[in-house]
Amino acid sequence: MALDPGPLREIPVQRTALTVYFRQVWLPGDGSAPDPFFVRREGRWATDWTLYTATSPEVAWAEYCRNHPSDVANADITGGVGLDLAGLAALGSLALGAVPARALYELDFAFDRLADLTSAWASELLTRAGFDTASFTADPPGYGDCPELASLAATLEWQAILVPSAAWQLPDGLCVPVFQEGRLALVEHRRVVAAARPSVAVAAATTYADALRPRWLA
Amino acid sequence: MPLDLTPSTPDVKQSSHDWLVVKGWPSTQATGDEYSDPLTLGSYIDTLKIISLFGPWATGDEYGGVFVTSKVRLAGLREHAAEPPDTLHPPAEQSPAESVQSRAATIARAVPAVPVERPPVPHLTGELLDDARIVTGLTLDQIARAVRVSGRAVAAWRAGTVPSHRVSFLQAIRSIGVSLVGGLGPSGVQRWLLAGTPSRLDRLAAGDVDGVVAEARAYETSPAT
Repeated sequence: MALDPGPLREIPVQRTALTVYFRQVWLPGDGSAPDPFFVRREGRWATDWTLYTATSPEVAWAEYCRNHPSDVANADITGGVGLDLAGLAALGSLALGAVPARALYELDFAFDRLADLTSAWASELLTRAGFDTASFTADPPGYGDCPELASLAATLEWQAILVPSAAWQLPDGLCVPVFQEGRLALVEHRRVVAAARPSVAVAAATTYADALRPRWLA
Repeated sequence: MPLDLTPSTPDVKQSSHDWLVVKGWPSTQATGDEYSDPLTLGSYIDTLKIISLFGPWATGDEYGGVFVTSKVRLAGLREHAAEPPDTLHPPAEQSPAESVQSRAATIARAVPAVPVERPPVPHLTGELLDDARIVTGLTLDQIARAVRVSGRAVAAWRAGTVPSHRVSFLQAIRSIGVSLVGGLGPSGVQRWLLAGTPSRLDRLAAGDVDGVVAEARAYETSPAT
């Protein structure tokens, strides 16, 4: 069923500056600088240009783990024993060995039209529009109603949206997909770390797609 | 006597200013200093909690900050009121998985990632076999086993001598290696190719080039999942 744009137009948009955003970025093999604005038309909120950012480093890295569960599975640091609370205390702050290192960037945006889809009022309007809010955490490849909503972002003149993270399903788990119009709202970006790997703790805290949680993480 | 919920003017302005600076949702009054405040993110999350508790956002500027300040205070009160005594509501027993995951979140907030040295840049030669080995760390024997020939036969592959039906296999290995070596280094790429049952290297040799290349290219971007 197609989404009704009427209620979606009523979702409040905010003029706001968001000072802290993070994104983990692929490292080219030729040693050149990574491109923090590289995008591909894929993922939950795919448009011609969608930059996936998160509100904290742990959410960004959790998205990485959720997107590469086989690598996390191969990075079993427990030797097959599995991670329990004692193991977590000892190993949680270590890096996952078998996962490619990536750069981490911090981005500053000054949005004119950020749609916060996490509020109760926004949820109500989304539901009225026919959007199933369970889609926020729906598994790939379909991602529920998210791709369709993303396809309406330009029509709704949304520069970016604030949404729950499927990978970090906690109150502070928030992502900010930035759309083409929002690119103009970028104020500044900084590289936080040139190369890093997610910690064991992030891998353990991540919510994976159905049945894909690596067994060693318990 | 009705309660006067309106703070005195100086207090309101000070509170509003503090809030705007600390919360990281600056209005037109923002100075820019808030961008370097390490408290910004955590406070911002508090702000989101307030939004979820008390509805759609208002900046507070239109009320001289009173509305926002009241929301912040109300959120604090509600949080305290919502906390039941432990004796009345003992915590439910969590499954081990839940415990590990929730404890892990606490550690992850402190250590989300671990900085590592960026692997050195490999120097390519232009020779297909050599370059495939340089960026993947694969040995001649490992390549030979994957394509079910002898190591000596593979060692003899030099420019112009690679069998035509092996060229695409080596090109795929080289392409994948170039995609991953920046983050994994050659030894990491080797482990990546040999991981799994069947291994990705075996899948490549069996003709699943598109599938394995797609897995490697998936690292180039950062899709929300």
